[in-house]
Amino acid sequence: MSSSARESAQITSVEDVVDVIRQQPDGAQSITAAREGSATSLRLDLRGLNRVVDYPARDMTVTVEAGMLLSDLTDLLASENQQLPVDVADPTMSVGAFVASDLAGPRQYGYGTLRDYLIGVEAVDGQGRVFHAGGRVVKNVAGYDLCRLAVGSRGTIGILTQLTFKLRPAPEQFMIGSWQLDNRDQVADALGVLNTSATRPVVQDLACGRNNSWTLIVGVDGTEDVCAWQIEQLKSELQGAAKSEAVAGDAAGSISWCSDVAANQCDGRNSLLVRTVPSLVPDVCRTIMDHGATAHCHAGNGIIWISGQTGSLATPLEQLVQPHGGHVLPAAQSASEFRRANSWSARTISAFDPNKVFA
Amino acid sequence: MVSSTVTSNIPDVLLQDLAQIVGSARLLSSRDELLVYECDGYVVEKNVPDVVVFPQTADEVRRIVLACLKHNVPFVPRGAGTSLAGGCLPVGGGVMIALTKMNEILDINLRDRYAVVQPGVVNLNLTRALAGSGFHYAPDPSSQGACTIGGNIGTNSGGPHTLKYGVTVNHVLGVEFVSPEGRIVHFGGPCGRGDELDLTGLFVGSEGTFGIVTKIWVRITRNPEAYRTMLAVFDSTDDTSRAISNIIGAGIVPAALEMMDQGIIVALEDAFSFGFPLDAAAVLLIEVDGLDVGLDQEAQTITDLCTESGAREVRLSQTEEERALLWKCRKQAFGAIGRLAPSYCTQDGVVPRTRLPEILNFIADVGKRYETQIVNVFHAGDGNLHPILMFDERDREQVQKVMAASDEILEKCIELGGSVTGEHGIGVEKISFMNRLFTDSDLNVMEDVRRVFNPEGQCSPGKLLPTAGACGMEHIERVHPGRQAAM
Repeated sequence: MSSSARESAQITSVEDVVDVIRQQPDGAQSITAAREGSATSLRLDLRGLNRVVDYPARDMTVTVEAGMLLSDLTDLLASENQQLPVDVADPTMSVGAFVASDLAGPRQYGYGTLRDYLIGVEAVDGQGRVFHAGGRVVKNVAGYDLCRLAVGSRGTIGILTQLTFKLRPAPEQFMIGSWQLDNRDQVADALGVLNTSATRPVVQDLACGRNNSWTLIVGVDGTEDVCAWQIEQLKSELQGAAKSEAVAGDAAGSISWCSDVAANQCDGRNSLLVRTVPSLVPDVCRTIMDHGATAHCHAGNGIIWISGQTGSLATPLEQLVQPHGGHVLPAAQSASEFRRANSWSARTISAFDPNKVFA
Repeated sequence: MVSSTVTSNIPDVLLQDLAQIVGSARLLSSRDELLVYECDGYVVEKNVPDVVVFPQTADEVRRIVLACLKHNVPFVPRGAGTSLAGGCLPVGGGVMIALTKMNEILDINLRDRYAVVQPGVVNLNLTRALAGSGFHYAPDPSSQGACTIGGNIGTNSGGPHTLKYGVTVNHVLGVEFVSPEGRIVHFGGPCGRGDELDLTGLFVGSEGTFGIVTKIWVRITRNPEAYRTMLAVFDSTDDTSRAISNIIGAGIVPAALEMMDQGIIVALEDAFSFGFPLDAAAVLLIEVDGLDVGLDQEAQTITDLCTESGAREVRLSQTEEERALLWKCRKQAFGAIGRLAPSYCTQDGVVPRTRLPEILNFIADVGKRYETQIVNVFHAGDGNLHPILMFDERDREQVQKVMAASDEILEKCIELGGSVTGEHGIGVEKISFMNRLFTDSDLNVMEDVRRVFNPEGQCSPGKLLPTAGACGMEHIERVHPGRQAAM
């Protein structure tokens, strides 16, 4: 491990992480593995912690060190025609950061999020304890599920050092089509049709732009025959909508589109995030557009990213979604804000980091 | 650390408090009545609770917990008692909070794909309530006709279709529970979590040690358009394991991939007259589901892979009735064990799929060495084994042999890179394995997490973590000889 002017410490082993944490005197600068963060925190550079630890492809699991880049992981899995089916916003991001941020894109509708794929974790907590949870088998309920806790934890419970995922086979084909709709009612009808469609989409997104533009985006995957059948079926089911277009006609193009959408979610353009029930998406979007803002929705999941003029939006959106268990959140939240967001989160984080070592 | 005044004998005044909360009709305190609750599906360890109460609301649960705290008495939740690991064993006696009367489906929202249920709702009853809607509740443990969704939350239950659809935690959006401090708490909800830790995910699988669940928001899943269900017959377990590995290795994710060996086939055929070949070493029940347009090709690929792996024959179910009977045989397999032995103990180990041949051969060897009949019916696609060891619990020597044989099997699972529990939970049965699976540091972290929710240790004592029986809890004893005494 080497350190430069105490701004960052280069890490090549889990022992390095333990040393850094344990050597921090009380009240010293906080520690983070995030690329961004407080200028005063000590940043751990985990790029040297990037090995493939175990990849038994026929078991459809992979174990990697947390500093491995997502691009390298994607390439590794592609060599065996496998995937971790969560859209990658930034291929230069580390696997550990990906897990800690719980980023997900359009394919969460059909495939879920990292929560559904992380099966084993090694991390170092704020007391310098190396801890493990889960394992390397796809079913495992021994001990508390700290894997779920790690996903989206923003580095608050520990520095992730090793991760095990269960994988899926890469589909033979993945196609995306779009449909232009005229108004909120047409959108609601279309989403209702999709809810009980004869097809089984893996993407169900809605882009709400300026000038009352509503674009429904639906993606399907599987074999060539299955995809082709589904696209034709969708055209039939959505024939009341305006013209349809192909957004991406092959797997590479479709994955790329999904990644672009995911990237847009964390490039700073969005200021608000709404989580609501899917049936409220049309009304939420109508409210957003009435206020002059725009949105991209993972409509099938009720997740809405909002950009533009959002200054007065939070209150009417809260009034709309909170009675149905929804949330209006800032699009980006620091780890310390995250730590304070909920009392049970704070209490749980304190079990790992009682001295608030992590930024 | 548990207070040193926690007691396993409850004072009369607590009985009176409990009777005031639930009424005498929903309280059991006579010895004869309590015997029913002395164990769950794990019959090796037994202990009678001091009282069983049947609340009907979250507020009643809250008041029961507060009463227990006031009198320093341990308490444990129980669903249908189908746990196979002693998950609802009342270690130290105390108050058993049976949730079977909280059995209402509170809401079904098809448009938003969720349902809201009380913990005592029987798993299968939710899918039955969804019949005709085009949706079902995906987690389908074999005990789904009896087990409750609250219990499924406790152990993060799986079932045959987890290979494609995931386990309980993948289908839980939120929980309401009464914390061990007596507060009603909500994690998640119909929209999942806000910007906070995934505390719902943490709660699922906590085996009742974080509190008593009182409401659950679950995701409901579209029914597949069609199924193809096959029975592949093999003359050796090695061929069967090879077929499993080849199917998964070919990039196919069946909806279910279940293995049954000859021992269980004989019992099932006797019970159900399905037409199982009694001379087969093993059979695979393989199901693919999804859009009809793609299933014939997928089924043919699987058939070809099975044949290449040595299958004697591959039968495709021709009717829905045939499919239903095949699944009935699989899901009621454990019940058929009653034809073979008065008692059984089933293990729940997991190995990587590619290690199945080794573990199956090892199990056969263990059975020979311990002169104990072991049959296998399990979720082969996940590598999640269920070796069923048969014995008579009235024979102490047989009990000891079964315990020793079980331990060897689980040790082997660990050695092969697996786990000791894929879906049944640690409970009390496998606490001694936690030190084998996890380091001291791991267990200390988990104990710290437990203390966040259960600081006094009164909720479900003696479960999941080996430290649970440590300092301060010595007086919470097993009244009847348990696993350690048997060993």
